[in-house]
Amino acid sequence: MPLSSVFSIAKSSLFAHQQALAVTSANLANANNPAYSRQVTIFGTVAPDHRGSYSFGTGVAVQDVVRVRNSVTDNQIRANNHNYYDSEKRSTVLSQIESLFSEPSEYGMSSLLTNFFNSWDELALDPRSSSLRTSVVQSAQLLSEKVNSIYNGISQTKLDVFDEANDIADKINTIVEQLNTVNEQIYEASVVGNYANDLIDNRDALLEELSEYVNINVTIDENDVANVSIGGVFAVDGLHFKQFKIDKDGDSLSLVTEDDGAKATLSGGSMNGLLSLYNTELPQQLDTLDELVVTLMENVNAIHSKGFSITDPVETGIDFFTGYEAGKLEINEEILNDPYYLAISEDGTEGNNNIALELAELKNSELLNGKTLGENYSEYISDIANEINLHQQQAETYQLVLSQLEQTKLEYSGVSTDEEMINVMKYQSSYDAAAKLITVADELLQTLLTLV
Amino acid sequence: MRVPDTLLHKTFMINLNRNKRTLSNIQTQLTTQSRVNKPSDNPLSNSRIMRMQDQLSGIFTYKSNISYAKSNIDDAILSMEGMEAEIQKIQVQMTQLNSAIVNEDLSSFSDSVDASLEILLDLANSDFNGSYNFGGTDSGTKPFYYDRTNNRVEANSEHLGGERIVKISSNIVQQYNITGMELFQSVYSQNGNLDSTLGVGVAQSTSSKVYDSEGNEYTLNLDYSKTADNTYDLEYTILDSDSNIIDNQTVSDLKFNSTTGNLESVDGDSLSQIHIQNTGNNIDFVIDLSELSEKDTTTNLTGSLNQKADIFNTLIALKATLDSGEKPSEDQVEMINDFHQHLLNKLSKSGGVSNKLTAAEEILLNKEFQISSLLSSEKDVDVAQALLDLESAQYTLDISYHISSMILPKSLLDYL
Repeated sequence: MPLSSVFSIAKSSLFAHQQALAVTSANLANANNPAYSRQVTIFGTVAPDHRGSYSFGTGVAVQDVVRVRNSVTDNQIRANNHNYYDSEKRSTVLSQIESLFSEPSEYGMSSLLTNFFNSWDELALDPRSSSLRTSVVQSAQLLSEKVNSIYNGISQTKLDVFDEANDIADKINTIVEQLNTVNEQIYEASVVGNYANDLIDNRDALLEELSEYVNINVTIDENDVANVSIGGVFAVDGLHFKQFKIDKDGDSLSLVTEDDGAKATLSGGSMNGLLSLYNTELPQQLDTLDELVVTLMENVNAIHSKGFSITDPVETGIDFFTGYEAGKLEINEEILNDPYYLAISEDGTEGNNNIALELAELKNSELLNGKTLGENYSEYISDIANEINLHQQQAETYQLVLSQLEQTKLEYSGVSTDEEMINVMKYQSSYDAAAKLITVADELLQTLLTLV
Repeated sequence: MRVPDTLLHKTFMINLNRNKRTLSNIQTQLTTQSRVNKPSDNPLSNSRIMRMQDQLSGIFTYKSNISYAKSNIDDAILSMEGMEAEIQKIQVQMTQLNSAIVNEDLSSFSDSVDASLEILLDLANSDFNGSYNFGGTDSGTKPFYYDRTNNRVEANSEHLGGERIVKISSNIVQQYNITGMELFQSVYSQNGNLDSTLGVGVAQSTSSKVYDSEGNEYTLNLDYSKTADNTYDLEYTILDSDSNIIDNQTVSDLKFNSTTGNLESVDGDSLSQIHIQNTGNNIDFVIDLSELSEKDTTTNLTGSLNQKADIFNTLIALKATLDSGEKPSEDQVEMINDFHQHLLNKLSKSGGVSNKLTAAEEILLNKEFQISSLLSSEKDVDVAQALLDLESAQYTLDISYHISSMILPKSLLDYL
């Protein structure tokens, strides 16, 4: 074996460790990059030199730079992302709705409804009192304003949800487009045998982000190209991708493809939460509110219209509320202008309070679903509160699972500075040793030359 | 297990956030003094809190109602006590009239009766907070006025019998007025039932005694003729002691509820009282039909008169008797004594109402205390416990910060 082979062996070592140092440097540089997966240099021996019955090593080479990543954990993270972001979005929006009711406080609809009924009771005491009549009108106005503010709040939230769904659709389109680009780059690198580790990291980060918005199904082909479908609808592969949009059909939203209108069947992600809120939960809340208010209005009017005002001339057949539409509970203008139009007298005399007592008794009457209005309202609020609690607890549970999966991912793929510094020292030593070997070989060569 | 630096940071941040969230929750509870600041904090508690707040609000209203009603009835009691003093004065004077020494001078007694009449009338028209105590539901109209031209006291309204009702708890309503009709007017209460099975045109009759303001007796005949299903005409006839008809009228359309049998209207009006005045004979009384009903059983009509005549016109008649140089008749003395007893009965009734209101107020106060306690235990923060929790959470947070400052920045690089 010639002395010159020592040089080539040392050189291979220098090169290999130089490359390994480069990989380690990249690891260290990306220590705080959440999308980055640590890479490991795999060394391999160069093919030996066979001489007679002996084989001599010819050096070392970098055989591979492996991206350390567990695809099972990635799949689990994506699946949990669907659930977590769905629950989290629902609890966030419902919490906004919850705050509209101002419960439990004196400004809540429960107190205002009670005050409204109590004001009739108080008026019954002194039916001629202008101030007590004004008090009834004011309590009705406060109740009407609260109803209006809740209705508008929920309606505004619906609009916000619609806007947010459109924003998310744009984000989905951006991600799908980026995935398409990355897929192409990965494919190009893959077919010529180049490492595409960083591109794959980028792709996985995009998939993880996409799973926050919608439920996705991902398959990776032999060239590391990701084929993705959203809610069962094709989204992207190595060659094509689809753009999505929010389709509004009447008062119902869905996520569809822009070109052929294929509808995604969503089961997770923040988009699913938003669409479910828009299509189901929020309309249900508005319906319940409407039902409560209409029941109140109809029952109050049915009794009030039987009574007589104490105006001159006395009038009867007066509705207290003149209408309810789109959250606006209208109080009779005549009553607003002159509270003596309140018709609480059963026989037209000023001191008769029977109608007021009957109206006050509505508080205890089972007017809707076999329950009082207060009980119905309490149930309404409890349903919202329980819904929020359910989604919050689900979100917390999924977050816990997610953080554990994140830990597992980091344990496996995260960059440890300590580990990398040890590698640096290890590679540095090997590099030093290779350099020393060249010096030794050189000295050997010099020794030989001096003999000539 | 590999422990990359990011894992260390991430785990630290998760735990730090958890500590901060705990701290924030305790701070919110301490600053609001409430464990339930929104329904989702505790849906069950929130539901209870709303119900208890609703109950408390109702109690405040009932307490306010009771306070007003009690003041009102107490004011009526004061007026009736004033009347009672005047009636006693008249009774004393009438006793004195039996003495021989006053025979020659009845005019001063007449003046005194006149003065008492004025005072009684003033007290009958007393008001509380702008509402006439004895005005029934027509509380804005002065109940009685003195028609000096015809020398009569007239009721100013048809609604003197209106009951003022107040709600003093979720299940109890209470009348808190003494009506002008029940206290001052002569009221014939028609009770019992008409037979609904009888055919159209069949009359069902009853008879009773009524009196003029001097105590003379008359016969009142009431004939109910069925005109249609659940509908009757009422013909009333007043006969004097010689059976001469002095008044005869018909009231149309007494309508009864076909289901309950209760009287719904009289001649299209919900008022169930018929005021009968025969000024020529000083007859003035009210027929109260509110207790009359129609049933599919044999006719059973009963009736009772609360007092023979109203006190005002009785006193006017008494004064006329005195002015004519005569002493009061036995009937007149009896009528005044009867009114005194009647007044005492109403005073007793009013006292009972006032006591009932006081008792109801005390029950409400107890209930308020109980519900407030329950509300407090459901809602209020245990400050001592919350402060301890806050200290503990603060301590944990401090340790987290301290540990992080010691550990997080360290790596192998620090030792190379």
